[in-house]
Amino acid sequence: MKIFALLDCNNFYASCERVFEPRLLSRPVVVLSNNDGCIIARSNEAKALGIKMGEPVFMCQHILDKHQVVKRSANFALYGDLSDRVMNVISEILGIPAVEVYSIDEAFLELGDSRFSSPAELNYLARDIQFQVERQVGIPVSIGIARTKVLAKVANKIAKTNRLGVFSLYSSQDLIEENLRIDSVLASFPVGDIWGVGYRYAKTLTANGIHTALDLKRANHAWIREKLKIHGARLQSELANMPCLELASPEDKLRKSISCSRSFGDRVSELSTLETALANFTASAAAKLRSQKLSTRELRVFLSSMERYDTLSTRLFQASSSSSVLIGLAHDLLHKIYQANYRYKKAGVIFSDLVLSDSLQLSFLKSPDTAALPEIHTLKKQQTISELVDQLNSKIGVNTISWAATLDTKDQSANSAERWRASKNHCSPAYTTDWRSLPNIS
Amino acid sequence: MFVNKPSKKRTSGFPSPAEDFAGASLDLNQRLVPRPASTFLMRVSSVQYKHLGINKEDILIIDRSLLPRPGKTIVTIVDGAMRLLLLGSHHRLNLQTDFWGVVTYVIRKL
Repeated sequence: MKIFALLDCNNFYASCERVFEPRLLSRPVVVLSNNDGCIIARSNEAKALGIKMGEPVFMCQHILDKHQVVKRSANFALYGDLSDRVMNVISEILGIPAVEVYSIDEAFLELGDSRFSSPAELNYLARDIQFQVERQVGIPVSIGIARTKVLAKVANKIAKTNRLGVFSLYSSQDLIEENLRIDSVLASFPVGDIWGVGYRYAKTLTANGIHTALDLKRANHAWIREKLKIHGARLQSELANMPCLELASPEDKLRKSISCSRSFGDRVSELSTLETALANFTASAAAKLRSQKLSTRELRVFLSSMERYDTLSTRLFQASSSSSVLIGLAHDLLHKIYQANYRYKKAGVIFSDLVLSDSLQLSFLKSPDTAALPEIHTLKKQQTISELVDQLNSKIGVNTISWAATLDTKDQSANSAERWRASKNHCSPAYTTDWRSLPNIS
Repeated sequence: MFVNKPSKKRTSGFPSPAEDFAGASLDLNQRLVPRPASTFLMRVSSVQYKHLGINKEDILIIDRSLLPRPGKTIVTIVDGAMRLLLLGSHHRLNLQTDFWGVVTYVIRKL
C-alpha cells in the first residue's frame, strides 16, 4: 500500500525573506499583498503577536509599530525561484514521478510503500527530506505522513504544531490498531480544516451536527453522498484510511487561465488611460504565458465601475503569446465596452483556453475576417520579437524594453509604466533572478 | 552562464567530418553549478577579503549542499550579516545559526 506525505513550507513567504537576510531570523516578519494592502504571510513571531492572516494593514498598524514588525512587499520572483529549488531538492531524493507540486509551497509525495518500509523508516526518510530542504535552500518545512492524501494533509496540520515538524498517521502494519490511533486524532480535528471542505460545506456540515473529522468519517454515507456528492464520498473514504486519490500528473495541472488585473488608486474615466493600463496588464500576462511556453486562444477584457461590470471576450483564430498581437486585441475589446461617462475602478485581462506553444499549429486557412489576420510570417516574427523582449528583460533587467502602448503618452518619464504595477514600498531585491540584485557580502 | 554553441551550419556540399562529434561543446553550468537547486550567487562589496584571494565586485558561487570543512571558504552569519570566513580547525560553528554555505568558485572580470 502506498504511503503519501504532504510537505508544506512553514510560513513560506516570510521564510523566503529570511534566507538572504539572516538578521530577520529572530524578528517578527509579515509579507504584504499587492499594493501593500493585506497581510499574506506571517512568521511564527508575528503570529504570536496576534496578527491575523488576510488582515488589512491599517487594522493591525498599531501592533506592527509597537513590536517593530518587519514588513516586506510580496516578492514573487524570489518566492517562485526558491519554490522551484525546494521542489527540485525533493525530486532529487524521491524521483520526479513521486512528487506532485500542489502549490507554490506545498507538494504531495509518494514517500514509500507499506510493504517495503516500516513507519519508523518512513519517518526517518521524512526527517531527512526536511533536513535537506532546510540545509540546501534555507526553507523550513513540515511533513505529514499517511496512507491517503486527505489524512496526510491532516497529519501535516499536526506536524506544524509539534516540535519536530514531522507527524505520521501511518503508525502500524496492523490496520485496526492504526485506525484507532487515527480516530483519536480526527476526534479533535475541526471539520472545516479538512482538505477539500470549503466554507460552504463546513457550514452545511456543522449545521447538521458534524463538527469534527471523526463525525464526518462516521456520518451516514447516503446523506453525505446527497449533500456533498462524489466529493463527499471520496472524503469519507480517505478519512477512513482507504485511498482513492492518486498523485496528479503534470498534464493534469496545465494552467486553465492566466490573468492580470488591478484596482486603480484613483477612479479612471479616460479612454487613453485605460488603454495604457490594459496594455500593461496584457504585456505582463503575455510574458507569464511565454515563460510557461503557453499560448492563448481566448482573450477577455473586463472593466468595472461602481455601477456596472462590463466584459467581452474574443476567440483568436491563431493561438498566440505575442504581446503586440494580444495588446491590439485587448484594445479592440476595450473600445467596444468602454463608455465615456463612467468612472472605472478596476480593469483586467484574462487569457483562457491555453495550449502549449510547442504543439501549436500555424493555420493556413484564411480567417473570415481576413483584414485582421496577419500573414503567417508576420505572426512568427511577432512571436520572436516577444521572446527577444523577454530575454533582454531577464538578462539586463525588468523593463529594459517595454511595449510602446504600455507607456503613458502624457507622462514622458521612463517609469510611467510603473504606475500600473502594484505599489511595493517594502520589496526585497530579486536576489536569485536578477544579476543586478545579487545578495551582498560586505 | 552559458558558453553558447555557435549555430550549426548545415553544409550543402561534403558533410562535415565533425558532425558525429556534435554536442561535445563545453557547458559552464555543468562544471560550476553541478547542483543548481542549492547553488546561489552573491556579490562581494568589500575589500576586506583580499587575504582570501577575493576582491571587491567578485561574484561568488555558493553551494549550500556542501558541509563546512577546514580549509573551505564559507559564507557565515555574524550579527545577522553575511561575511566570508576561511574555516580553520579551531573555529566553532553552529550549523543552524552561523553557517550559510560553502564558496565553490569566484567569478572575476579581468
